[in-house]
Amino acid sequence: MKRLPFIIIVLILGAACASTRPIVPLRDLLGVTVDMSRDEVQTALSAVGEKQRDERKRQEVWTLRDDASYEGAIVGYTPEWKVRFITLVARADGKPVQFADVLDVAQATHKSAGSTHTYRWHPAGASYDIVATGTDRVQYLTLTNEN
Amino acid sequence: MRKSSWFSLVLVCAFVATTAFATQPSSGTISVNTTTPLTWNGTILGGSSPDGENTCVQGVNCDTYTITLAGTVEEWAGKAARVRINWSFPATDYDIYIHKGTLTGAEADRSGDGLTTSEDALIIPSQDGVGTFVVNIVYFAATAADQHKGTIDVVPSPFVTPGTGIEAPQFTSYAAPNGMGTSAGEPTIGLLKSGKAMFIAGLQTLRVSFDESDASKSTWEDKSDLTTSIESFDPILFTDSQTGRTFVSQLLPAKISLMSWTDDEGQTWNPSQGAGINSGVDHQTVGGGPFTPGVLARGPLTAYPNAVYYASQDIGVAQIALSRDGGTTFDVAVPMWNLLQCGGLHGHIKVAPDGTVYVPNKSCFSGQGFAVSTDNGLTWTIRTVPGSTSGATDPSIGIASDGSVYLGFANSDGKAFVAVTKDRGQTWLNIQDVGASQNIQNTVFSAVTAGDPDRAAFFFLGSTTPGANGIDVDRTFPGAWYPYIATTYDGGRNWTTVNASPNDPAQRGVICTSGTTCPSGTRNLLDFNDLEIDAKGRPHAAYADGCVTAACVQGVDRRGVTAGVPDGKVDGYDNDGAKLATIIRQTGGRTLYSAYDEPVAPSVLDGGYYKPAVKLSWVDNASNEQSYVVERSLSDDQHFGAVATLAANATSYTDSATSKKNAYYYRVRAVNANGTSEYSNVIRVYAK
Repeated sequence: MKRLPFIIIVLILGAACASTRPIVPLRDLLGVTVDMSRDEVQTALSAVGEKQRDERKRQEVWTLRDDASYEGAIVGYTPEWKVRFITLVARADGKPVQFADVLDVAQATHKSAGSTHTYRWHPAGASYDIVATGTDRVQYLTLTNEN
Repeated sequence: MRKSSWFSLVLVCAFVATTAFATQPSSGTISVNTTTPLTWNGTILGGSSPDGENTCVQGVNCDTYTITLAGTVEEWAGKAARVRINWSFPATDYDIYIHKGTLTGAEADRSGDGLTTSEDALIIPSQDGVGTFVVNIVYFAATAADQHKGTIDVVPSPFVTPGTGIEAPQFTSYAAPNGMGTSAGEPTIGLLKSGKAMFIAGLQTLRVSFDESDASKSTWEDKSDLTTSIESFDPILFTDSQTGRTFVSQLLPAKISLMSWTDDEGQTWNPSQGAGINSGVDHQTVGGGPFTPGVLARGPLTAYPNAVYYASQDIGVAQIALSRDGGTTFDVAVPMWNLLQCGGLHGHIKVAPDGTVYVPNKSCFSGQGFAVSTDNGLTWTIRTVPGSTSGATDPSIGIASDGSVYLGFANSDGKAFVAVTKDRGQTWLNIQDVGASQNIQNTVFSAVTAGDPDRAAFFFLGSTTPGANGIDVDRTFPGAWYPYIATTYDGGRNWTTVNASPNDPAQRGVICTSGTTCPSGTRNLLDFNDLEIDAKGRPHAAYADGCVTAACVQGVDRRGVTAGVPDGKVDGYDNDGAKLATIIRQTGGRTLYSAYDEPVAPSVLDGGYYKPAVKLSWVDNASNEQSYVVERSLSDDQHFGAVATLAANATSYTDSATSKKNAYYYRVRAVNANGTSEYSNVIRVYAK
């Protein structure tokens, strides 16, 4: 019985440590990083999906073959054809991705409209932001080097 | 024994496979004369296919029914085959995909709404042909316990044959004078309660007044605000016709939207936060109108009664933000669609009287349509027009006073189409090529407005010269583009389409729609035009005129591929490449508000001499007349003078001021505050 308070304290401390454990920021999505060249993107995304079309403003639309969570990717390039963003689009009935799975919700700026939430996190030392938007789970996940 | 066992097993497997892959029954034939609907029951085993039919497994989470439309396309004229599936529980979700011939054939239609217990899709023989179609019913989310039931019946086709029109409105063109509005690509226009127009031309915000007593005169004034006169990718202007507030926004390269608004016709301007979001990189638009009441945390915050919306694209997602304080600040943006669903660009935001918000798109699931929101822009549903195909320029929406939506679009074949919906895009009617009467082969820059429930106008640039190179990069395209306005007064069943500037084209040669990749001199008009109505329901079209010199207007072959050398045809090399702010305004004929209609003329005027007076009678055809005026001539059928003014609805008159052995000529017309009707027929009565 005397050990019970000690165990509780250990559990609380453990939980606290777990909750403050720094989240390792995503550096890429499907192997695509910001500032990557277009050729490198083609190589990375061709391994997991097919390019559907080019869009205005140097954007590409890709669908993914077997990803349990995401159905597609949209890549935007700079005029020099370097990646300025990559956005993954979640499958409606795919394996859910929680906001806390992809960014540090405590550190991220948070905005909401109704039940739609957007978290934006700039990892320390990184040259890009991680942006996640959705309702009860991530609907869009983006890496971007734009404000 | 062993061989026969294997054979039996193969037979069983084949039977299971065959039966599990299809509905019960699996096929049927329907003709235009079929009166009893065909029916079937689903046999799917279970599971879900969230990717639609892309990854569904036949017999497991998708099911097919094969329908044959017997007869010819001509026999099916005006008719369609409606495919409907029903199920029991809203939590279940089936989608329909219809393919021509086989499952891999061209898609004829699809339907994939959520939270319903039915889906409808159409096979329209005039668009899709006849013969065999495969209906693929896909489990989006369902269990085998809630099987679908299908029916196919014959219904009127939403596509109609273009009408001959009723009456042609008249239009007058006004070009910006004195060096104003010379960079007016992608113009937008707003109409103020005073009758003046606000017009954005690049970095200039212009106010235009029209002389009601002289239709040829207009006054243009520069009312630009400094904030929105510095730099821009995408200028946009919106006037809320209810409140009279005008918004002007400019998009900067750093993804900043600079916005100002004015309540005094551009005399003074007030700063806005702009989009207040990461506002995107392209094709911003502003719109507004009433709030839908009762949406939590999405109502007005200030005395300004209406919602203001801002939309643009960023990181692959089209987003929209709501302002609840009259455009001073904006809430956080929410997604409308992503590039997997629709093309990146969108047309202009329109808001219905009940608060429903629409944002049109030229390419959603290979068709044209819109995203629609019924909760003040919080959540969005995409709906498309059956039979439409992705276009090169934005579609446009006009919303009538009863909420009827008129969607105008340039189809992929270049034709100018309008479709009407009265249920926010769930069903469509009166889909037709309104440029057919003018032999329009190429269409760009759709702009639609509406007034009374059955009245709408559709403005577009059209060319009677066929060829996809009309919207490509080919400067040798030999067509000329004119501003056309199609008008309906009967809910879109009939349209009267006129060339509103028949002696002055808007462009000679190609109008390139390929964005920033267009060659120099082919994209001077940029990406869209605009159309709004004034308080009297008169359409005002805003466009950039690319052909302004006398030589261009007259079609003189001045240049060719080799600089300065004519090439024997009038093409893009002979265009001026200008972008001059121009307004085409209705100056005659019925407007889009019936309250401003002149009365319809009386007919069948008849009469005789019944001693000692002349008695007249006629048919009252007007519903809005205030009086009837009877006119008489003593000598001939030319020199008439009024002899009586009668109350509304009068259909007879007795003229006692007559003399024997004289001939009298009579005519009658109806009068109201908007003007007078045409005269009735003239009759001659001899007083014996």
